[in-house]
Amino acid sequence: MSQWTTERVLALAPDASSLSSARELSSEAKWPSSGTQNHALWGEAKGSGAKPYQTAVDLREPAFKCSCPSRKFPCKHALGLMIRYAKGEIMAASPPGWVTEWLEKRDEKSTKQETKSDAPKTEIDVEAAAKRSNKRWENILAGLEECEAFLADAAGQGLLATQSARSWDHMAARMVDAQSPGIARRLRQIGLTVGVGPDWGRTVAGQMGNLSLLMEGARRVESLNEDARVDLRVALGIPQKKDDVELAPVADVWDVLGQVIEQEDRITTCRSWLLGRGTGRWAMHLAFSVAGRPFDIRLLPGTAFVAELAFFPSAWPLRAHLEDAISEPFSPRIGATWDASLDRLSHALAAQPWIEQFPVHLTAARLGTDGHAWWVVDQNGQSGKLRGPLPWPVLALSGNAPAEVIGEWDGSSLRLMAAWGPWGFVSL
Amino acid sequence: MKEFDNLATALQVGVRRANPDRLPLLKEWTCGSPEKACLVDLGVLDLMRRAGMTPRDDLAPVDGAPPETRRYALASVEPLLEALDLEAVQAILEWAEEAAGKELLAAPAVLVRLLELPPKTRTALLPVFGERAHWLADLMGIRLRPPEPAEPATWEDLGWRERAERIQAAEKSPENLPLFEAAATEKRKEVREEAFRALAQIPGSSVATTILNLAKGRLSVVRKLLSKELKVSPPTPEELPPQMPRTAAFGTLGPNALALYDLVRHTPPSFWEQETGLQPGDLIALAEKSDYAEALISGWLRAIPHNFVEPRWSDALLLARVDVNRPQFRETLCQHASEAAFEEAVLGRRFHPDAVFAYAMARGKRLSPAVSELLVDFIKQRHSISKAWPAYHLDLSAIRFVSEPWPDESESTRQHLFRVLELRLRLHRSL
Repeated sequence: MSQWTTERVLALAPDASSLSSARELSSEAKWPSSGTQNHALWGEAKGSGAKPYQTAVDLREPAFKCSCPSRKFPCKHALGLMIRYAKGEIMAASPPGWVTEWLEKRDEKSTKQETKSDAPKTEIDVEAAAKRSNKRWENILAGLEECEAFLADAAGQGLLATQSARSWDHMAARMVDAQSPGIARRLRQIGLTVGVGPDWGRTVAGQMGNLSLLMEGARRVESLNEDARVDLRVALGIPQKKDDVELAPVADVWDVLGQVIEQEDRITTCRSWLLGRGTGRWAMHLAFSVAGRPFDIRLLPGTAFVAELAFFPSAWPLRAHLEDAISEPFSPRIGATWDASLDRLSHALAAQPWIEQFPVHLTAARLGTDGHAWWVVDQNGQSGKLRGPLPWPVLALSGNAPAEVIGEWDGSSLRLMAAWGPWGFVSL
Repeated sequence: MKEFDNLATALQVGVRRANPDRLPLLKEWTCGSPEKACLVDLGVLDLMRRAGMTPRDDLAPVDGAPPETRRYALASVEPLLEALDLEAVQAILEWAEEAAGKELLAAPAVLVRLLELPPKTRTALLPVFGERAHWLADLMGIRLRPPEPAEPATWEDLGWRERAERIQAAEKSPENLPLFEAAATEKRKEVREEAFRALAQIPGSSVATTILNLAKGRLSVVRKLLSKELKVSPPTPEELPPQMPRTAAFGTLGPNALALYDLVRHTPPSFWEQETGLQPGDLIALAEKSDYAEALISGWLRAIPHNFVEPRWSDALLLARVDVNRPQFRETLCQHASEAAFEEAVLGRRFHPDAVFAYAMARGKRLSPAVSELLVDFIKQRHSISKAWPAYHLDLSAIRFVSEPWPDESESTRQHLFRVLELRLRLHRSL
């Protein structure tokens, strides 16, 4: 049975208009010819031109190819074709030449990549990489000097007197130049917060303090243990590579509880939160996308799979890498209370102070409001404030009956990601 | 945390302005300048604050949604979401009407998106909104029902426009006679004329009696050996009641014909049936041949449905090819004519295809299978016709005419029709 459902296909849509157009294109009438074989799916869609658009999908990743001029990825034709496939409307057939040619090229490319990655790294590579790493660290430290002076100046003059979002952005750009995107992102966040909302002073104070602490940590990096050093480097924005993962992967049934997709400049970040059914261990899968490329479809909230997750090293390992996975019905462990969740957070922060988002999974939770904001109230009557999207879909489906909820806690409020109960699953 | 708050305040006003000795700095650190010490201390205190956070315990959850008394249309969720994505509001409204007829409610999974539709559409969806929808709308701050109308202002407080509107909207019944009679003596002409029209529609009122007396004997049938003829005796302008709204000019009508036109439009059409002993269709046919054809037919077209709602007359006028000479009346006639008369007129190809679209739109009703077939045929031949709306008015059986490809120039229109009809069909079958 195909793992593709209409919902899964629609999750690939890069924007709302693609979604609507894909639905339009999911009727048989639009496709004079179409077929599928193994992991290949193809069809010819009638467009405005004389020649139909040739659309092909490699269902393994998925990967797409379409002869239409759209810059969106996947385009509406690929989505429309996949909706038809999900509905079981496409019959098995032999692929035409242009499809086999494309698939062969893809296979060829992937074989080349595998060969390349399997090849042992030469000594020169290692040496060059170490040199690059040292150079980067020097750049970062130099940038930090400048940033520290900027922050000290801001603190000295007072935020009310001199600071504008533009100056924070300017400093952030300098930090990008200094190869420290983690610091740059934090600076931009501060710039966006200054003067916004009733409690901005406290929020910015926390953000600036956190940033200063991070810079102080960078200066004292030699005195830290290996895991703390790794966490600090990640917080500064030095990316972790697939090869950095720990050698012993954790095998379990992983339920995908929630997902947050954020857009910054041209890069879209997707954080998927997984909970091991047997181990009770949390994992965060982090993915980036440019130009609307779709994220891993296996990580759709409300689904589950059996997999071995390889965690990246950290004093409090959360980020994990996913390779092969086999689908499983969604059936997560029950959640906790606010007290237990915040207790877990304080342990996590003690080990890894740079954690910005922390998963909070509550059981038998309901929603309440103080007239200004919405709150999640747990079974003990304790509550935490919500931020982000309003919880209307959760209320509509649950009728505010006790439900399992999952959110990302940032230290002061919860970004609700999903909720589920006997009435179904809703992702926000 | 008092220390954190104090340092945050110092940060806002400027650490340099604060007394360094009074800054509540942590003593564990030696960070050089007071600014830097303040920032690092804020970081430490913020970390402590986040790690030691305790949840609030004085907030109660909002009450749960009340139980429903009707069932949800759960099978409709998928096609409704698709209709919402396609912004096919008319298909949603059609579904709602059918679902309400079957005592079904919109399922919770679509409520938020339905509640976010424009207020007018939301109001039309009220029959499929159950307890949960109202509960959710309250939480979302959405008003589902229009506010109660304010207490109507007294007659004296109203301006002339409001007075004329109120007379127009008032039921034309003997109970309202005092209102209309008082308004007939108003200073403003527009109010007086509305009052006259209202009084003319109330049998037994002084105005209605005057009009009928004046109309008596104006039309009579002269029987000849092989045919009949309509004898018309128009009134002179001076004979008309002075308070009657008068038409200054209408086409090429002369003064007497114009007076006849004004008289006819204020006279109940059924009166002429009694006068002549003829059915509306026969009377219209004879009138068309008379010297006063324009005055009589236009007078009846004005009388129906503006002053007197008489569906038999609407049907007869619609079928009498009135569209050929007086296209300005077709739309209102189509709205008030019966389904059978409309179908007969359309199938008899009495209208131009463009006009059929306009009428079908004006009627706002689902077209019969036969008219739908005809329209699809028109669309196929005239592919330039706007494709936006017909798909929502066609009978669902019309899908069979749009299932096969059409010629290239009209293929995209066919695909649109197919898509909408197929969606409507799925919405229909989901109930």
